[in-house]
Amino acid sequence: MSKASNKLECENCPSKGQGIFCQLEGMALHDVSDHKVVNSYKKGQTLFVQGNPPYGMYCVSTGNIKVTQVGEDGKESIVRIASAGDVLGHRSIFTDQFYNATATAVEDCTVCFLDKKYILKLVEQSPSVACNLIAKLGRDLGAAEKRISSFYQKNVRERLAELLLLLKESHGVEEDGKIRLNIKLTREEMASIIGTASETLIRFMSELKQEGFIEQKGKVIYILDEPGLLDFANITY
Amino acid sequence: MSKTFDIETIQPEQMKKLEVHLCPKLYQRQQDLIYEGQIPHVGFLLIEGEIIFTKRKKIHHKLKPGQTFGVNELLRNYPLKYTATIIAGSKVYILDKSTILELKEEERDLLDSIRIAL
Repeated sequence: MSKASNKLECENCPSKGQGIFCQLEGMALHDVSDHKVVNSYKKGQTLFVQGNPPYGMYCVSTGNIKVTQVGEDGKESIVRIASAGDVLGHRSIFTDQFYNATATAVEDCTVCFLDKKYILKLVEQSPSVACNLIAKLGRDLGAAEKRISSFYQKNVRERLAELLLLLKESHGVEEDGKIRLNIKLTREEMASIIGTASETLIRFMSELKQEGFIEQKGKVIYILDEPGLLDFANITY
Repeated sequence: MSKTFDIETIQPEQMKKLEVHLCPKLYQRQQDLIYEGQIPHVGFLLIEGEIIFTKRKKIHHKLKPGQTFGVNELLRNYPLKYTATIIAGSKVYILDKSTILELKEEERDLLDSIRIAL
């Protein structure tokens, strides 16, 4: 057997302050660190598969993970992207249903795991964890509702601009007066998120570039004109 | 085939005792449970079907019903040297850390009998 791994303590987590356990202190946080299993995933490796039984919750420390659903026609669509501080598999813990999506690393990631019994015990004992989980479920529901209305009310061009703005919120980093999207998604993945074909996405990306809203260097996307993109997305906030 | 990780075979009477504490889980789809170099999230006791261990895409070992793996690695925080893939339609008992610690309190003999080093 190989040597025991050096464990990533919650105290030293790169996403500290963003997760649902982050309000725990002292012994309680130490207990979480002691109980969890920390693993690294390479790009393309799966954490769990749609249709299989859940046995715990995953907490993303670093990296991005795509959550996909395969429909009855066999077509895969990206439901959401989980990033540092996000949790995965939390709904299945409470509903006791099979996973209704597959989670796959889109880049190298570090992910912590806590088993179901331990999570349920934590929820009973720590109001902050329970409240953070409820808040997380509420945000997930809000995002899902927004996505459904977006699919009905917006055209592909608007949905693409909206996606870029959402990625700016979750992965945007200021760099030389523009905003770099710190996530590398393929065109197929981006097309899957907004529910269109790759060819259509490529056409509208070119349009956004020509109009000076965005710029692309390799796989990295930069947002140059956020107000213009907001207008393009037909968003009035 | 040699194995360099812990696989234990559970006897029928031990299985009956475990059934009190665990409920079977069905894997409807094939899935990589653990990748080479990762620490298992839970231990698995195979009831039906097959779990295949591979290294660099070569099959190293196949777990048969009644055999368990991952418990020692989980408790000792050791990575597994192989990728473990469960075949669609397989049924397992999942031995998570909380359950193992409960068994340690309540069923020490059972735990000792399946030779889980605590």
